[in-house]
Amino acid sequence: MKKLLTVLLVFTGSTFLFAQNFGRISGNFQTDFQYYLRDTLIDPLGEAYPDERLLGTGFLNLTYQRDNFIAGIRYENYQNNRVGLPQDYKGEGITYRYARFIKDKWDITAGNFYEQFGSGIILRAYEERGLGLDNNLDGVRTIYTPMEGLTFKGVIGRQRNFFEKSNTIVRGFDTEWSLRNTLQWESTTNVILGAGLVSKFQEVTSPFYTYPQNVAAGAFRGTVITPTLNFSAEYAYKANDPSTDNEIIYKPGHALYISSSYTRGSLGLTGEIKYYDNFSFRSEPNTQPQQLLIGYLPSATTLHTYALPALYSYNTSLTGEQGFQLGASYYFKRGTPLGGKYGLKVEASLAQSYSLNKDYEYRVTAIDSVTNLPTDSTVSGTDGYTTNFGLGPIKYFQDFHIQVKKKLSKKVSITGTYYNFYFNSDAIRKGTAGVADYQLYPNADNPNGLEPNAFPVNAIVLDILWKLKPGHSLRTEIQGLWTDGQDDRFGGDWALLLLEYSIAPHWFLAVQDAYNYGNGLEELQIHYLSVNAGYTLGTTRLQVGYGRQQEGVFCVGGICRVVPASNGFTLSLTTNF
Amino acid sequence: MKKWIALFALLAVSLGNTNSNGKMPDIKIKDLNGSLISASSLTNNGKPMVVSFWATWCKPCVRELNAINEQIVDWEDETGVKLVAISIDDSRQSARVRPFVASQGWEYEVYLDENSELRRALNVNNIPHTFLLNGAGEIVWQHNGYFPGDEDHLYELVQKLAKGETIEHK
Repeated sequence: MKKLLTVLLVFTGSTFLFAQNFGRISGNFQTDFQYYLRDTLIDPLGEAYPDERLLGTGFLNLTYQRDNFIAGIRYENYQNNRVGLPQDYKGEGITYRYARFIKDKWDITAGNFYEQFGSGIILRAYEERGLGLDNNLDGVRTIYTPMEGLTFKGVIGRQRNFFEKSNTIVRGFDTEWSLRNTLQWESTTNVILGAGLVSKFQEVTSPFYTYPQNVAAGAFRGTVITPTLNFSAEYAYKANDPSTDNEIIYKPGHALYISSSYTRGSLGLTGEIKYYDNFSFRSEPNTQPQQLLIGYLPSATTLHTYALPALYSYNTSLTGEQGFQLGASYYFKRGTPLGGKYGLKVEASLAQSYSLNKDYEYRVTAIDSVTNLPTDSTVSGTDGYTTNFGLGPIKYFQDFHIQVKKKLSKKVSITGTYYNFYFNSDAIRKGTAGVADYQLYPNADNPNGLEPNAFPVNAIVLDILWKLKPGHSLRTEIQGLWTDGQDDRFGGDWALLLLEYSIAPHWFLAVQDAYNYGNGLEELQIHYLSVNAGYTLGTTRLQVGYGRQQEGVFCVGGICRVVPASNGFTLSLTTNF
Repeated sequence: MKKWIALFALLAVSLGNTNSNGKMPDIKIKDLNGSLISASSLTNNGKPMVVSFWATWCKPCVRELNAINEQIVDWEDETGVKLVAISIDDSRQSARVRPFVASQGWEYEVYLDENSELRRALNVNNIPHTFLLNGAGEIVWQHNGYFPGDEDHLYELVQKLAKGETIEHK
């Protein structure tokens, strides 16, 4: 009791001190609960039905700031993690704590930190809570800015691995030089040059292979920016890094990412090119797809958030891919023939991804005793394959979409989008991160290559917003998706209707029915009906839901989050202060 | 157990301590010309300022910024308020921010927070998340999420600030 009093006294005292501008504490808090119902339709064997019935997770961030000093901690709890999210998050504890000091030319962080070099190809420590991804580094980061426009960064640390840390040490150095700022050009053009080097020290024991202990990756980048044009390119090289991702080969990796945009008046054009060859870069060579990633490969595709098109999202193939994206957008101003009274916004985009043009070295591992033909083979040789210039034999993905936004009257606005995808399910879904594409290429047992499970997908989304009276609005989403594609239990045609009624600034109620009427499996031609309601007061928000939910990026009540498939009750509380 | 008491005492302190308002921290964000600037240097010459976190893929964010965009000229004339839009698009999307802004016809000051450094320092959980700063650069109000009509409430608060009144609810 005495101790408790002391603690209280200290903090009452500190309240007074805080009020004297001795710093400030802020933070945020989120908790999610889900009560699962047994649903024999979406899950006949009960594989996704948790023994716990009720699962709850949450976190609390506290940040203390005083002048140049910032410190923070995060407490996380998983009792246990919700279905569909990584189950290695189990239990509770402080997963993130740091102290940071920013003064004059120095910015020093000790503890956990997030960081990105350039576009992130050789280093990106970040978190994506909806995916259960957090690869922050625990160590020291120093940023030195000797003059405006010139930055040096040094980092060293070990990566978070759920509630533990990887044994591998990650070290990195990066510099960025903005020519206009340092040379004080009078011009409106800016040139930014950068270079980075990241190296990992790993200790891997294997009875069969000798893994390198130090693996380095380096990158150069340059950006030219004028008032209308933005051109950016980054090239990265990675030394030999055998892993289960690349079938344990010793070939070095290459990555090139170019992005450019042109903006003039209300016209916008964008173009991106990607080329990644054997560039999976992780702290440890044998992990789950989203675990312990050091680098990040931009996917050069659009992130779709409407529920049905989001069913066919792309993820980058770490072992090798190439592709491009082109986009155009235009705003027809109000008063012009097409713009009408309120203006008209149009945008369109085309993205394609292909395999690399690889010639695999392979070794036959099984032969049919009757025909004497090979029935199985594996990648062999130190390098595993050679890469030739040009498009590869396998198309991974295509995304064409066009969107029109129009305000029809003072009360009604409408957004209409058409999507056309080509989706190679074997390349994109089977390996999650597209690993082990060897099976798709021509090899001993498949002289012509494997015929992939790939199919076109068409979708239309209409999003209509009615402002009924001040503060009251009704948003309707009408979505349709058509495909012959089937991927295990997932596929076929869909229709979706969402009605979301909101009363600003506090309330919303949403009802959604997604109907998988064209699923190739008749027993899965079912309705995913769900109801959600929410109450917001300032920064605090409580949301409750009930129903069956399909997998995807789910946006309702003004917030987007990635949610796995389930049936049951949900409760979510978020706040910050 | 002691840890927990300490934690909750800390919480109580911070919640009961709304008089000392936070400011923008000294964390670097990028302008659309690629220059790094400190978030603490964002000012509006003693007038109120709205700071809104958004992303090109976040539909409610875009709805909110579009709704404000329709009225921003009046807001500026009447109160001198300025809106700063900070995109948390990551490197796979950030090159598209400038053309996107042009295609929406926005004239806001737009910055990039590519790896969510500023977002984390300000404890922004989900977007859209909107901060209102008074003339002294202090955060006096914040709001999470967007529904049509929220912008009217925001503007009432801006008007209060412009008249020199204080805002009670954070």
